[in-house]
Amino acid sequence: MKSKKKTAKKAPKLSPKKKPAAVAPKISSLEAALTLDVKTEGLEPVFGAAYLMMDKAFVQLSGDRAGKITVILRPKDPKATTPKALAEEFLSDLASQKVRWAISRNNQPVREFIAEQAVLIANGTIPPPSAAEAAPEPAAEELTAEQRAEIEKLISEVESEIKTMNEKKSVPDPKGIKASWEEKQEQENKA
Amino acid sequence: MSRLTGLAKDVSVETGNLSAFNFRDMGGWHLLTNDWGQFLMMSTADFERFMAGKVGADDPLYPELESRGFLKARLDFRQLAANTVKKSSFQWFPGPSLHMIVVTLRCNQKCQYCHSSVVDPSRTDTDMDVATAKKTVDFIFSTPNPTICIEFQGGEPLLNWPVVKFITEYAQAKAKAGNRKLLMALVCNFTLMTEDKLDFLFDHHVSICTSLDGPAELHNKNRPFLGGGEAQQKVVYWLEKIQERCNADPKKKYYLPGALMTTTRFSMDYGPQIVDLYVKLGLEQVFLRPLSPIGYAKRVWKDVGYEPGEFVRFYEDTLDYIIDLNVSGKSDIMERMALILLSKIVKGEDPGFMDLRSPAGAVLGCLAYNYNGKIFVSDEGRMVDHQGDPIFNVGDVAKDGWTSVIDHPTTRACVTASTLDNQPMCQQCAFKPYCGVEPVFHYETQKSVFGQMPTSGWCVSHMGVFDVIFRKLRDPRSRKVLDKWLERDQCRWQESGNVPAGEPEVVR
Repeated sequence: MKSKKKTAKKAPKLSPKKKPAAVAPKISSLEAALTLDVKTEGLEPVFGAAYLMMDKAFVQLSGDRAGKITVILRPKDPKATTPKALAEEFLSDLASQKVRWAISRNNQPVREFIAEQAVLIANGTIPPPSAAEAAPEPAAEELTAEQRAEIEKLISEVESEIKTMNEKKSVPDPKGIKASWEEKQEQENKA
Repeated sequence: MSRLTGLAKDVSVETGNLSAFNFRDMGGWHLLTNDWGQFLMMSTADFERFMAGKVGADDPLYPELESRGFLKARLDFRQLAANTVKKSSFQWFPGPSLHMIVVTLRCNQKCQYCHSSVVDPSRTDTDMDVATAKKTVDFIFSTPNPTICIEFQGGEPLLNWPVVKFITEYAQAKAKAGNRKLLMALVCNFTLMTEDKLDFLFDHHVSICTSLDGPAELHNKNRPFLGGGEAQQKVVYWLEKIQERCNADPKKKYYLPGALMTTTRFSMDYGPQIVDLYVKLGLEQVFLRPLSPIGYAKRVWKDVGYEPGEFVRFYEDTLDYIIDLNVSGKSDIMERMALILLSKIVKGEDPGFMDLRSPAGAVLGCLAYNYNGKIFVSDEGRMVDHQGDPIFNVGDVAKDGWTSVIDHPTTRACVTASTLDNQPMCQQCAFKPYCGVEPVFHYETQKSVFGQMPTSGWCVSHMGVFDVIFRKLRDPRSRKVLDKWLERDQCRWQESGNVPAGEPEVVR
């Protein structure tokens, strides 16, 4: 398989100090309206934050998706929340949405590559990593004397267990009850 | 803050070095998960250091972040890909493994919340006939999954016993001829069970599952007989009888009956009593299942239903009671939903539970066959049809083949809608690697197979249950109990050689 080299754009550091302030919300007794610059806030974060408000608010988006978008928030239950609280919550969610979307965008090539690898492992094109590759054991020199003794004890226990199992295997089994599915298939095919 | 949760106000974030992950503020600590099924629970202070890019190679957090795929510069691609394969094992087998056959719509009970859209016992016109049964089995064996699990559903399947027997024997003959692995299960209310039927079921290795909502006063209120009478006593009688026979014969040990409970508004005050009854009856697990507003339950929702948050509180309180019983040594009973989620979260395996998959089990994992041979994306889809809306009908065993079912526009819509990466809120949720959405549920409750997660009862209750499970995982006392459950569950499957991980969860 050819592996494509994909590089993500260097992502900016998002810090509250550097974050451009959104246009101050216009609050009335019925609703809150926020006008946002799409270039600054990003289209997906604005949509994302608006979507998340839907359990509490009726949300209306209007404007130009390449320029400025106005978000109007009206409480679904005016007794449970206020337009001002909705506007604050929207801005807070918008800040988190920007981080979530930045992480998602930056890692898209990696996620796609790993998904491709998973398909190749699943269909047998490439082997899965061996246990040794997956979790390298610490080198023997790094083990303390106590740890080495413990491991040796475990090994001897397992060896003794295997020995007992092998001895049990020699017990007659005329009906083939202990045979695996593959062994049975083989026997049936031969018959 | 939305239910998804977010960052605290003054957190500084260095996104360039962060690997792909979702996060959740759990109140004092944060949960991080990634697409590859790995998770980390860390203090909020550590989370904020990590987000700010301040965790260096000498930091105690570093090895765990690295080994679990949270450090962008230290990703082990092949290992993470292998984790993905294991976690989504259901994706690598073609075609559905679970086939639910409704052999009759008739039922002798009139459950308050009936999901199954049943009819009166006199309506024999809703019985599956043998010709349709044969075509149904032929269709099932034309689907490509090497493992087939046939589950008898109803109505009350024992009201059409000859067809249950026919399907069992015919399917077993076909499985033998075609070298297919076949599992069979019967979901019934036990009220029509007899020794002869039981003999047949044991002889043919059909596992048995029933409904037991709790103590008599609760069960009989939720699940009364048509025309009155006490149903719970019959269930308890047969549960004990079957257990006795299973326990007397080591070969039958793995066919111990299972029981399921459905939570109604009436159940809310009975958590400990329900568990105590299951313990008394020697049942290994209790499955605390929420009620879905589908089928008849939708009509009576105001009487038997509840808010999703109420279910989550009931779930947590009852799970706490079960954990206490385990800690005190009074019982080792397990809770099934917790076990399903723990298999996904801790073991990184798919336990074969159709509802919590991405994409959902609809068609890709399961199919439901009505008494008349019509094929549906799921049993819930069949119930919607019974209410007069055939939207989830994807074929007919008399005239359609597997290719037309998998290519059906409804199949495509359900798969697209239930792929969590297509769901705006789910794709950012920390529970995404372990969760799923159900297109039929959302069609019924929100008139869209996609649904709208911020207002979805499905999302509220599942998110709540995930919160509970992760809180238990962080609590050492509960964690010890949960780890034991996982160990026992693994041993059970290994010993029985019956249903390994990744195969269908027949107990629904």
